[in-house]
Amino acid sequence: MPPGRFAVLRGLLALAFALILIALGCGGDDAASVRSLTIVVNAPFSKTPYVGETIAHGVELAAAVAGPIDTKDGTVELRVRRLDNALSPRRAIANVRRAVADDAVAIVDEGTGVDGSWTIANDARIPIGVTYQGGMGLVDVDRRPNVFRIAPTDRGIAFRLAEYLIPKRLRVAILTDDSAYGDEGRAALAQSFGSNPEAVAIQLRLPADAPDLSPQVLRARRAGATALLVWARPTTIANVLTAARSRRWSVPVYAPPTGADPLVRQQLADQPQWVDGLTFASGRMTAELGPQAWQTFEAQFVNRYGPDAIGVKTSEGLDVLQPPEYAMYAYDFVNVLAEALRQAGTDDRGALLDALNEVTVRGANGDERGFNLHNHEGVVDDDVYFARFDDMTFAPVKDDPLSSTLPVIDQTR
Amino acid sequence: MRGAIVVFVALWSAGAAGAGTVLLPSPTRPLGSEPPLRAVGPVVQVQLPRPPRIDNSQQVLVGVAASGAVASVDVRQQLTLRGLGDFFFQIPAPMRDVRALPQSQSEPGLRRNAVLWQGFSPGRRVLAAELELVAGGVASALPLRLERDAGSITLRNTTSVDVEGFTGNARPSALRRVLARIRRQATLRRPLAPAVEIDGTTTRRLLRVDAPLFIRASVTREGRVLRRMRFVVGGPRPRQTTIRAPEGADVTLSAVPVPLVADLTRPRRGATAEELLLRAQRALLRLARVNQYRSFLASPGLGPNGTVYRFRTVDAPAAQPAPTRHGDGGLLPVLALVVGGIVAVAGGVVLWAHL
Repeated sequence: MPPGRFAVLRGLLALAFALILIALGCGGDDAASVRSLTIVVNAPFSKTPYVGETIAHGVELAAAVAGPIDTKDGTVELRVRRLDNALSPRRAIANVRRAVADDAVAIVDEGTGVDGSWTIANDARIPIGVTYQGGMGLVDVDRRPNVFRIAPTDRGIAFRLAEYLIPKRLRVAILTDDSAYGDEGRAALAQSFGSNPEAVAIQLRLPADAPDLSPQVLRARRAGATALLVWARPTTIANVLTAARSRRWSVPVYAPPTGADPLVRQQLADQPQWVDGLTFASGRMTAELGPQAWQTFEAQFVNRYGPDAIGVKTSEGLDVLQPPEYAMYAYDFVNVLAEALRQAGTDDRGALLDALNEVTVRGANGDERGFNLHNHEGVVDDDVYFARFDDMTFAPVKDDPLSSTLPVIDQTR
Repeated sequence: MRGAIVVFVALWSAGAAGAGTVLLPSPTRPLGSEPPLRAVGPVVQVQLPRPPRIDNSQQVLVGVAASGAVASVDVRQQLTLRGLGDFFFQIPAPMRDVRALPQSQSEPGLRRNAVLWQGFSPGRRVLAAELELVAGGVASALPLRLERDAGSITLRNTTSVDVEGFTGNARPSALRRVLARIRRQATLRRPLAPAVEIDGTTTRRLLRVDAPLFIRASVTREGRVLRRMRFVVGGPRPRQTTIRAPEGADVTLSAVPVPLVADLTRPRRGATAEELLLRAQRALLRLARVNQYRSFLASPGLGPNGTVYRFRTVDAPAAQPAPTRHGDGGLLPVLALVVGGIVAVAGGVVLWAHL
């Protein structure tokens, strides 16, 4: 072979090595840079700003705390994008389409429109984390493999309410409003009280927009009710309290988590004694291990966003603050997502969905949070507790085994 | 792990000189790695109600193919938690699926190689689930093997294990008291490990022990019972036995580990100190093996364990061995790529040198 051909071959080999080195060098630069992965918050920022803001705050705080996450595809960090669903399923679905177009890594959702939006996200293998609504059909591990939830379920709340109320031998009037939330509650309560019809005095569907619910409350009283269970929006709960207390009917009133919504107390700020005794069921904010985990989370939250004063005062003139309960669920979902990213070692959406079934993190309240192959609910029914209002703040009840173990959370300043 | 030698760690040192108190083997310490079943997976921090006490009751349902090979293994496990407080734990096992049993007060979660339990116990909580295990991955942990021939089935106790013990010079009267105590405590769920005074040196001895299994068997054909039997395999009895079972007959049997130690704890008159010492160790190690097989699936805390192994002949084919229990299926291709890469680079260098 003539020497000139060796020279050409050597030159080609040298060029190939140089190109490989350049390519390797480029890869190194990519690995060193930090890519952003977007979490879309799909929530009603315009219609119920408190709900939208608290979810978004929880997500933003968790994304900040998670910091850079190392994967084999390089270092990533989470950034947050807010999209307003205005409580409209149509807008919620449009938001999910936008999230898919933006290649979002996950959607943290208030729950509106998920019945229609989950397939769009599932086609792109994007997980949806519901952190507010507890409707029974929203999460189905077999049919909706990309939908997860960290929030108390309606089923769990209804089951615990029945477990708490039936042994008291009360005759319960079940009042639900005609909102979607009320209808979900009516279905859940029908299941939980179904085996004990003797415990139910009457079931009534209330008009959500009616300011005066006196006729319905009077009907419940005439039916022999010794307790009212109001599964409705906050304004309806306040209206039921007004109707009962203004007629000096001191019947005990029970409610789902909406009973703790600031709107109930704001609406009854002129008659704070009417709120006294209102008992609601919700997900616990502290674990058995103690309140330290919650206090740490709350301190981080308040440092970043300030205390959430709801505009009412105690009898001693102290401002009443709302604990960031629903922010906690959004915060926990993002922490589970970040842990799944770490475990998967990649932001490949399929691998991430698989990893979401395998990881557990310590939640903001000290509870273990995670999902598994059979269950995409991050709050177990056993974690539902009961709290009762007194002087515009609430404390866990003492006549329920779980609630009696929980400390009182400070709600004043 | 059968056939392997298990070295139990006790407060003695073989060959040590001088008199001293020696703790005999613990009757609750497992001999060998399984049971309870283990599986590779993420470790979680266990949380239990206080005071933590758990009753762990299990039925292991084994389907045996015509050849005698294990075709399926399902376990019905009921954990009864006592105490007030949160619980969070996993039960590891190579498994395909899990479902709650009707009496369960919580829903089990399924993770890769683990059942997940989470919730709150208000004083008492029943957690019950049926697990479908990977038969090929757990067959070796079963205490009994069935081998079918024309007209008969041979039952072989597979719990035997070799364990290191020791001999030494001790007072026979003290050893007889120890044996009597072991006999009295054999039926207790958590018997204590006794101690003896040893004078002089000790010498290692290999001891083979197993868990006696109390068997109830029935042979049926077309719904008609041909035979019913009750007997023990292992321990004081032979480790294998054969029962007549005509071809085409169905065989169902249950096996329960039983703490039979009377054959060891009632020595003949005039037995030497060495013989008495070995009998005491064999008895304690046998109890340890029985306790080990009482818990086919792990329990997250302390409390009584009980397992019944139920075998029945089925038409299904034998299960294939589990592909992997360590999640290293992807290692080989990676290694091949790395080796290939090295060879390619070396080839390039050689080519470069020759141009």
